[in-house]
Amino acid sequence: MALIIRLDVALARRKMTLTELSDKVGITLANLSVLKTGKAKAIRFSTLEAICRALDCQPGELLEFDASTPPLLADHPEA
Amino acid sequence: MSTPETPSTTPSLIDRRIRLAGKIGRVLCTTLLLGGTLLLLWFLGAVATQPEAIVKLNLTPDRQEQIAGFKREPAKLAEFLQRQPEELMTLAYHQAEANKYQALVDLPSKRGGTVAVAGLLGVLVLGFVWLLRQLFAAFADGQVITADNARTLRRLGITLLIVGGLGLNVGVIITGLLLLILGWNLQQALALQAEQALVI
Repeated sequence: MALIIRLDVALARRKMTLTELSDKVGITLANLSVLKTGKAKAIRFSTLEAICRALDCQPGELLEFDASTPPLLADHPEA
Repeated sequence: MSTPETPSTTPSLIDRRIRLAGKIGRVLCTTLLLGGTLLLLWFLGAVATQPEAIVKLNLTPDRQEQIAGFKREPAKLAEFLQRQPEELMTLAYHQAEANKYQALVDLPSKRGGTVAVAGLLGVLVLGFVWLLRQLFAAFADGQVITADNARTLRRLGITLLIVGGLGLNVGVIITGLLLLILGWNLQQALALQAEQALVI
């Protein structure tokens, strides 16, 4: 997927563990781990908002777009 | 702050019932499978070597006497039909079966083909019971909505479709189609669930 989740970087900057984030956001550790490892297929706005609140950051800090990666949906032309 | 949830290890009432039903079904299917295999082997052996035994099995001396009586006095037949129509239907069925196997006694060259068709149908039916046993075994282990069960349901449907198609039985074909659709639906639902689990 061309979108990369930079949750590990954001956590490292704040010296916060995934367990602490899980407690703060109210999302299970397993789900956060799926998100962190890039296995997630989608992220809800509510989840993104909760993580941004907990880490006091902007969504742009958590998400990165890599144009060199092939598109997820075949019918979407590459930019 | 969220509190860690510990999953309940005590099975619920419905779970216990499913497991019990699965265990009962598994035992029944195993019995049916063993009995069916022996019956099929006996039947195929009898058709191949001595079809007259099946003729005798269908036309017992009592039935033969009854049919002969009807031939002598046709009025008795009408009276019997009014009094015991179900009994007459059973008698007619056995007579038709006996006629079928009498043809094998008269024409031994037909036995090979009959053994092949009956063997194929028998194996398919036993395969159906085997798949059903797999399904019940999964229920006995408490697994109901799983990918394996969806696949088994689809296989059950396909088996019924073939059996129904060979025997030209519309009821069996429709049941097979329903099972096939049910299995396919379950598979799609599981795929959706798996995808949904990756939406955080």
